[in-house]
Amino acid sequence: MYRKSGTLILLLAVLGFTEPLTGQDRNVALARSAAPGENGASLLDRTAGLDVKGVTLSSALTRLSYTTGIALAFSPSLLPSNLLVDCACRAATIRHALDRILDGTGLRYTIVGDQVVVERPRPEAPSIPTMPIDRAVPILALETAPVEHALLTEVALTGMVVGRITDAQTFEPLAGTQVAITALGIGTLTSSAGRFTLTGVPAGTHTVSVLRIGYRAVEETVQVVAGGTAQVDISLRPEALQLDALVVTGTGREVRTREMGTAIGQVRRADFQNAPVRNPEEILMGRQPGVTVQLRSGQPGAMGHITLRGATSISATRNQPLIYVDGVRLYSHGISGAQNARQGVHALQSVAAADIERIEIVRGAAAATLYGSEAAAGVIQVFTKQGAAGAPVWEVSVGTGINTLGRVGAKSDPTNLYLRCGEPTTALARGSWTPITMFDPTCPESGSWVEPGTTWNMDASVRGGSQDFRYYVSARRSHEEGVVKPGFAENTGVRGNFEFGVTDKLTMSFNSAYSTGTIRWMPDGDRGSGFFNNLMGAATSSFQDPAVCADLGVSVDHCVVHGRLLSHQVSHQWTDHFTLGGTARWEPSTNLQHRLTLGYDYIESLGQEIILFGFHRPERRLGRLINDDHNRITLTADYVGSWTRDGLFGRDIGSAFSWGVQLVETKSQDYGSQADDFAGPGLVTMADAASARVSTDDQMRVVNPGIFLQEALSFNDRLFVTLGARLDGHSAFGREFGFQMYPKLGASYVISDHDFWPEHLVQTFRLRGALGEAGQAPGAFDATRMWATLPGPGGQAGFTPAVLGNPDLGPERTREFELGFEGTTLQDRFSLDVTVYRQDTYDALVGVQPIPSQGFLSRQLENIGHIRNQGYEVQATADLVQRRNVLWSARAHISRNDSEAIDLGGEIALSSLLQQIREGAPVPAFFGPRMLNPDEFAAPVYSEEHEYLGSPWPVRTIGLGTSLTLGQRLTLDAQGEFQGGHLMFNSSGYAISWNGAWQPCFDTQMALASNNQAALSNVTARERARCAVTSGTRDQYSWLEPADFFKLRVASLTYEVPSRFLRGVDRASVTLSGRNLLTVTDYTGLSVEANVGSGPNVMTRRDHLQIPPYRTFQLAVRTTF
Amino acid sequence: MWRHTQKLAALVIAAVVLTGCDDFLEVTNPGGLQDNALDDDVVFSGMVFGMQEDFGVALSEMAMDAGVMSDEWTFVGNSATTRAYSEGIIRSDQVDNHWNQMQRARWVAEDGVRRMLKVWGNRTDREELAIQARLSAGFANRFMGELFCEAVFDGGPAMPRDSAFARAQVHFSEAARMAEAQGRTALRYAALGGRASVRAWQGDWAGAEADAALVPVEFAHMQMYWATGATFPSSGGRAGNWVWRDNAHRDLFTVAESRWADVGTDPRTPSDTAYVGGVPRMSNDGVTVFIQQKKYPGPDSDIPLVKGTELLLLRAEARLRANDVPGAMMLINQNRAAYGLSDDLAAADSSEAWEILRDHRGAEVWLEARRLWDLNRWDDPFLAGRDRCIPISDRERITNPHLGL
Repeated sequence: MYRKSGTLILLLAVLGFTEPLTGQDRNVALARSAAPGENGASLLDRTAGLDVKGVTLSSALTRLSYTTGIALAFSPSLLPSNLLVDCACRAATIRHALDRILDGTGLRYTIVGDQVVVERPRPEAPSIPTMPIDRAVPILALETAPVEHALLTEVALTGMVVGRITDAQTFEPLAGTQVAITALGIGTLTSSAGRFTLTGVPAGTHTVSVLRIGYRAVEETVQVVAGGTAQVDISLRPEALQLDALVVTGTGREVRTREMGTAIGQVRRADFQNAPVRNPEEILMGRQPGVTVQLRSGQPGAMGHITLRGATSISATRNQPLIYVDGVRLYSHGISGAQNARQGVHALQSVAAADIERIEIVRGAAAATLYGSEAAAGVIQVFTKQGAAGAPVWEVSVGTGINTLGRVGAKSDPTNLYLRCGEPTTALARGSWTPITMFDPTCPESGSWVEPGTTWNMDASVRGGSQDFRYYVSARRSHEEGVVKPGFAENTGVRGNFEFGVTDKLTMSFNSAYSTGTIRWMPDGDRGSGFFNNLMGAATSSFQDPAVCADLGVSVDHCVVHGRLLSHQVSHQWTDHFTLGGTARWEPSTNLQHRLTLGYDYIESLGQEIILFGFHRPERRLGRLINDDHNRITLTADYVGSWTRDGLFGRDIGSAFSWGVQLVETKSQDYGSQADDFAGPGLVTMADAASARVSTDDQMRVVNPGIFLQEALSFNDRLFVTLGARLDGHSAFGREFGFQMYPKLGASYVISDHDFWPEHLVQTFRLRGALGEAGQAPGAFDATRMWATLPGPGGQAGFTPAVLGNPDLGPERTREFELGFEGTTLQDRFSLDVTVYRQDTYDALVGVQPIPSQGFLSRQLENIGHIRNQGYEVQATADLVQRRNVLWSARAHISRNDSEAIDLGGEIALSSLLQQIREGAPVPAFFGPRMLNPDEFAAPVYSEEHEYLGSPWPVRTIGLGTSLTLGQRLTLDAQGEFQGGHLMFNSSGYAISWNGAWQPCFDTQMALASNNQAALSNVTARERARCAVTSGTRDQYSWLEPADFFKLRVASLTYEVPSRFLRGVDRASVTLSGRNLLTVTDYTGLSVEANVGSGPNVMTRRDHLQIPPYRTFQLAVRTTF
Repeated sequence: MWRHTQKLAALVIAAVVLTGCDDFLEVTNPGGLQDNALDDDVVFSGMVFGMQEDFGVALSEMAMDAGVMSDEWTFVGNSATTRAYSEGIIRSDQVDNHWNQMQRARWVAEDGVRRMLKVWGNRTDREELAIQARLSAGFANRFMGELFCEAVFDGGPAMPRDSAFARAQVHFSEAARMAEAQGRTALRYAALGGRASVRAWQGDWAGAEADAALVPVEFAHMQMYWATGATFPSSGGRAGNWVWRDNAHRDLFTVAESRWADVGTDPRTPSDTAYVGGVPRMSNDGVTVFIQQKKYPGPDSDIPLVKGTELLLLRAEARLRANDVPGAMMLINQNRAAYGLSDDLAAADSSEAWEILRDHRGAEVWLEARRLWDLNRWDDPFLAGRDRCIPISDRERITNPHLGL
């Protein structure tokens, strides 16, 4: 036992855990929160909520800190003690309040990071002697003005306190943190590297207070000796519930969380700092209730699928949440990838995780009203890092790792579904269902088609600036190999965010980003030349060549050559994405604010598929080239104004009236071309082919203008009522734009702010509720009767009926009602957030079958549907252990969404891949004949009618996460997710079994083929259906399987390198992490969450012969200097 | 001064924005053609090409499936619908595709005729495009009558299938009249051939004979398909011949186990057994020998709509109905001679002549979507216990206020 303990102590010592750590954490009343990354100008634009009369300046400032939630740094010794101030500033801005109460004091205020510092102006001359300070550690001391000779004479009797403030879990330095010895009136702010120095501290024992918005306050006891330097490094932990965090998405103006009637999901940098995630899709996996992100494929670079709450529309394209980055709308839909890939890409993928400060998620219509007729499916807004005043801080991160794929398919299959290929394997011949042998001479030397792929990434950034100019600039490059060669994805990107203080009333910021990426796709899914489609096609593989085996002297029934499949098909996706946004904030008076954001987002993605000359399949022997180019331009113009007042009716009532005008224009162009039959090898351009044609040329422009008005009332800063409406138009409704009104109403009540509240039991408690509407517009051509063009030979073209047209179309209207509460207890160690909601989409656009004998066959949209989603979302966090050297926290969320098509006008709105959208069932749902005796040892018996069989999308999700920090050096973080309550169509098994290549079916298929009743006596009806040997008895419904699964999405182990080992850098950490590590499921197909669709935006799901998602292990080193 | 300048600038910006908005908010998207744009003769050429393509799509798929509804070939794929067709089960909930496509072909052609009359007026008679539009409308109606149990026009009530023949006759007659006036010989033959058949189906065998006699034996009017193997994807496409695709390319149909499997030497029903390594290749089901039809050797193989050789047999049938066995046999042997089958056949009596006629007509129209109607007309034993025609689809019944399930 002692030996073990000694070993542990030795290990801790080696790892640097034994550095002196004294004192205890204590919560103090000044704990406040703010949104990370909030810039200075917006900080001052917030409502002051201050109403004081005849109080000292110190009291007024303290009170202002309380009412606004901002961190106000000041030294009481600097303040005139006999000055009493008044400020009836409840509805005024912080800027106005500070101007008022500091008027005549000679003091000024500045913004450092996300804190406001009150200080005396620095004398311009002469220069004054200072303590020797490392230039790399800028000091922001409050005691800058009163530097007098007396101070210098005191140096010999005093000492210094130095240290660094970091995040307890991520070890990130926390710039702008307030550090003070309150009793002495000495204080400072940490530098951008998180360091601080307190000078002139009298010898003795003192209490150092550390305060930062969003983190729990800490006090630390320190012993100072004359002429000495005391070291205090402190790690801060985030607050459990941040009622004063700022939210901007869907709120018109910036508001505190406490004012919101709806739940806004937030994922902060600290949540994913160490995880091996590359973009917002991967960040959001399993992080938030009501947010479902699914991996569609194991192809590097393939987009995921994001769903917020549930389907509010029966159209896949109308179920995509809007995407904003720093206020600029991105193209929010997926873009089709090269045809061979059966996957797509998304603009969100090019936003680098390393650049992200936080993500706000608006899950439904109640909170998305102000976005109008394209927002019913919710809104996701990404905020990137911004500059901070101070010396430049560089951050460089380098990571490398591997991607691996474990077993695929049935465990009883020794061939691993023919991914192992070094020696002859066995399958069954369709028809006779007798064993046949196969051999692939083109198998890789490793003996498997699946090999580990390497991955590496480099990220570098620098941030800094001054009071009037701040910047954040970053660059990155990444490369990732897939598990089937030669698939890969690589990406290079840069970002520059700049903020200028033009005048004291006008600030401007510019956010820009460019990324360029290349994906090498593998032929996948249901493509005739798809990799798995042929590999698992056994005797039906299109890639066979008996002569090759004959030359090798290998005698087998089928000589397959799948190496030719991989070497003769080359598919790429090249994506360029550029975003530029500019925001001007103008505050002409203390209670009037204007904000104008202009944004430009451009994404071009070219998918190219080349079948090389000499391809194995005879019909493509001469080769083929397909180019599909997609261009999307999204322009954003967003003006918001607000006017705040206070003390209405002589009471403690505040008002904030907001108004805004938005205009979003989306232009898209899709251009596809195809060339066939090259004259010889090496020719791969359109001009080299015997025939070439334009296959697609679509152009579309959509304009969505809108205005909104909103009034927010606050009562005693604890009861908030918000009433607003948006008038929204859309070009889909023609020149008149079909303007619609979307109202909203919300209320929030922070009951725990009352004096009567039993704060010793429950520290924070808030009730909230909201009712709001948002919409979804139909497509650009849906209102007009249109004919489609038909290409013909010799340049001839014709027309055929396309869209019947409905000039009376209106938008879908989604009305959402949401109620919830949140609170903390056990001294803020446990937090709980509960939301229940119901969404009703009225006037849902349903494609109605026209009368065939009237010529038009395509469904015509009509506003006749009613779709409902209802459910709950529960989120909890707990600090399980809070010891000096052990911090252990846990987080969990659970959500459920029940979807139902209430009314579709009797239509079956979708019918594809066993899935339909029908009244009385989820949207969509599996329908088919139900097997009545699945477990009987008999032939299958089915219901006569098609029945509801299950939902293809998860009904329940559970997120589980934990973080364990040891000795302020080592952090283990893990995030897992359960999705369940749904079915998956194992189309892979359905196809493979018919190919005679699904090993679990071999015995049954041979018994069925030979009518061996003895062998069949212990084969269930379900297995007989799955292993059918005649086309008449094949049953795809028997391949619908429960798709519940748990995945360990990410796990990381981060070690903060002790400073004594560092040379030339402030900080370094090493992280070993993994993604997609563990999957627990009973599902038997290739992948429980993959999806192969004809386009990137799909309603239906099926697992069909696609490369499954793989695991990633990564080692990363991050340094800051 | 500065304040005035500011106000002026604001005014100018506001004016620019307001006037600019007018264009900005005027959203007109290219792509596709608005319906009212078709009321212009500059697009009539494209309109006629479109109606021919729509008809081609309907005919191509119909020829494939009508082949298993009759006894022309065997389905060996997985589709439950087509499998049911093979078994003689033609349910109203499984015929949406055929009903829709043929209805679209009919409606588009007749809509085109209406637009031409509206735009051109009397000039219509002088336009070749008008003849082609009438022919498309005539053939679509002829197939509506031959294959479907009842007819429906433009969202109206159910009508007897004869009404489609009557409608076809009007279109063919107009086409013939205009073609004669314009001197368009080939189009006139096509119209006369089409009218001959629908006259016969209406019982006007004399009229049918008269029309048919005007068409040369060597004449053929074809539905054009132009796709190449490269442009006709296995997953679908409008421009290609689906009979070729689903047989030669997808192995979903085989001539095996049909009455034409053993004919082999008849040039009207060409087919061949596929071999792999000297062993007959199996079809998609793995158990049925794959015999490939050779009548349509590629995706761009055209499907006949009117043939002089078929009209010989039509006239032969008219003769038989008039108990003129020698006359009928003479015409049948002319048909054989046209295909190089030199050995003349003789029939001892009417019954034997009818047997010969049925065999020859079956071979003549093989895989042309015509045989199901012939079997109906002849009350062929093959149809015993089988559905004899395609019912009005459920989709039409559900959506058409004059109908119902």
